[in-house]
Amino acid sequence: MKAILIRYGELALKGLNRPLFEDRLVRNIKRKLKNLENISITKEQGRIFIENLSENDFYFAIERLRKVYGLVGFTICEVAEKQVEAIKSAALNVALNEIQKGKKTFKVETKRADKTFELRSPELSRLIGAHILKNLADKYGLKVDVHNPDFEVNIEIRDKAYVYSSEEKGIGGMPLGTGGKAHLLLSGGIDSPVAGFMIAKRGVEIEAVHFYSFPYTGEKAKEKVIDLCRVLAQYTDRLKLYIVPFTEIQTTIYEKCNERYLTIIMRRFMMKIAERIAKENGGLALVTGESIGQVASQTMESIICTNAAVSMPVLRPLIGMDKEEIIRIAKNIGTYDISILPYEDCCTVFVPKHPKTKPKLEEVIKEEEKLDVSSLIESAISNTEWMVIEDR
Amino acid sequence: MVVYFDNAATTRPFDEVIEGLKDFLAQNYGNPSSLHRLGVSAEKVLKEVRWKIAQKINVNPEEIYFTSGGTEANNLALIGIAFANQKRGNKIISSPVEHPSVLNTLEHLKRCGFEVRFLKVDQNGNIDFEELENEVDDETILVSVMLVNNETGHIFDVKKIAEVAKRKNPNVIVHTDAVQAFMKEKTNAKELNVDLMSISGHKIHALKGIGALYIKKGINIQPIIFGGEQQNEVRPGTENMPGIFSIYKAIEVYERLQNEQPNKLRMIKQRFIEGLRSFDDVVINSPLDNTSDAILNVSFLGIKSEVLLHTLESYNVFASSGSACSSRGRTYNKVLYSMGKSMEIAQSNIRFSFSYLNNLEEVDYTLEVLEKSLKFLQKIKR
Repeated sequence: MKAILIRYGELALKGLNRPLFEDRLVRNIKRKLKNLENISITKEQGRIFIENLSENDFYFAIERLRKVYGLVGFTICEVAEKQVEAIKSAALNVALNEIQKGKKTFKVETKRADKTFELRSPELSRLIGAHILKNLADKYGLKVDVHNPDFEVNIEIRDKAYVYSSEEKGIGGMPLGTGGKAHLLLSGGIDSPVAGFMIAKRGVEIEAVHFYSFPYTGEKAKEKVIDLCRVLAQYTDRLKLYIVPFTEIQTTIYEKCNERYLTIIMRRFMMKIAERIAKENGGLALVTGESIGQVASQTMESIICTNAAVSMPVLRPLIGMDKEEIIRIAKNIGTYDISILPYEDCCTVFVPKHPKTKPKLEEVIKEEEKLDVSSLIESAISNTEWMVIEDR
Repeated sequence: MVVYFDNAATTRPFDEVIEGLKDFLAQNYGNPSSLHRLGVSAEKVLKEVRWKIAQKINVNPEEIYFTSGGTEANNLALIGIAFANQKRGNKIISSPVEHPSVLNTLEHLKRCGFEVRFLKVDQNGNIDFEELENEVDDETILVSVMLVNNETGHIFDVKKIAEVAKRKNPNVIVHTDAVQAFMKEKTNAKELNVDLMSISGHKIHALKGIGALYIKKGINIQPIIFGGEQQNEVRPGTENMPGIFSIYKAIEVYERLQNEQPNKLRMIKQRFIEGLRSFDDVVINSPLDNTSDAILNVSFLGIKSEVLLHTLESYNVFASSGSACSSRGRTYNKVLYSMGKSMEIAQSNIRFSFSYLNNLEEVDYTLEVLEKSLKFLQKIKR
């Protein structure tokens, strides 16, 4: 009999609220595996067990668990009756499996959650180690190495005996839905999807806001953003996406304001609109993909100006990261290939030749006073469309 | 009003094609290789369609090979001829404004060790015959030049190209990509003196995923796909019968429409050009003569293609820019640029392409919409 054993980490540090977090995690796992019939998911002492899986289910389940926030690691384990003979043969299977990966040295580790079990942990470890050596040492040149083994055979004695070895790392973080809700400014570039992924990883529910400037960007750019949301939804289960028509705001700024402030004023509008959407939909913070110094609108001075446009906290998980690091995460989570599709910035009509890299807030505000800001925002909000993208 | 002026990209299947397919799919589903009645009945359709296409380009039915489309027809022509005739030489001559399915196949052949030469093309899309004559030598095995350029509509003088090339070296094989020309221009293979010709279904209101290659009898060619014994083993695989049937139906309807209104496309294009006279900053990129009636390429200087394209789209007018983002973030039409047109023209071109399903009212509507769009876009031009 095989099962999947899941370890979750940071949660164990929680105090009295721990059950809340754990229950949430179990719920999230259940929802992620909703297509698997008759499986049982049980939780005990820092472990979650998934049992009654068919052979095919394992691959499907592992693939999906890779995208659940809050998991430190998971592994397929052998489940045996709590008798020495049964544990021996389960441990032999586990060891054989590791030897086939070319590993040569091992040790056995036992944890007894059930203290009524007849043998103590070190005794059982020795017994099982001896059994494995007796059967495999000559044939495969297997040796014991207690300090730096190629693999460990782990035995956990609970209601049954669980035997496993190498564990796959989970993506970590906190269970989704334990950290409130925030609104992500999603552009279609490389950075913003990564920012969304990282904040969601801390258990925060994310909703995305995209600014759409038809005809300066086309249907394909919109499709691209929806595709990015599909990838993010694999982690967040579902994602609400607001599409805000932005053309009128852009053209008005373009007509009335000094060209050098174009970008910064545009960004302030985006922040204000996103904040409005967040407030109306239970969002507690905004999330952006800004990283200091990456472009003219992300200098310290520019960030001061955009930050001043809103009163909500603005979370910037990429603020101190290099482009290289951001790209590495984007590739890992699967957004990179979509982000680099060349529709987004096909139109460079609104990019000033020499943007202000060090705008002063009072100058920006003075420039902004040339516009009827509130009615522009009203009109954008009232024409905003939204859709929900589900993980399929 | 919805105006579809992107017929060089693809066409809407004729209603008769869609209707006819329903019955065909349900009843005539046999495999033409089967020996029983259902197979024979499918084989009859196959023969009938071969005959129909052969008749249109003045060749024999057994010289028509069905492919999965224009791209595969071009691949089979170039790769199949190059490798089958390697012993005679390794030089291939083409033009720089060919469709990507020719250009990228030639890139592949370059990597395989063939020498590929691209002739210079002037602003009107004409090649220099002296250069061609100089390039053709004893090593030359193949010359491939398209009949109608898909971006500008310019018609190449393929007849003269074949004549010049074969006079210099009688063994040279000539291929023409006639995907944009078939049914719209003269595609008489004998008169053009070509040995291979590619055509495609979805440019003439048939289905996507079906094309054909004419291969002159006696020409040495190698398959690029291997399998069963279908189509003389030159192009194995069970024939795409629905696609093949759709070509037959489409040609039938096309012929009828041409008989009813022989100059319809010309009238549409003329009306469009007339209407553009009142616009400022407009450059017509399609040559005024030797050009297809189905394609009109225009640049609206100072307005980026893609932006105007989407603005037209918001009024339900569909056209194309033929541009792709290059790695340097510049978006421009490579074909126009390689003809020696300025970057400004290459960045602001729109291609309108017409079909028998269009009419003059649509042209008038499009001109109105263009006027509105340009006014709106001028506002934010500095």
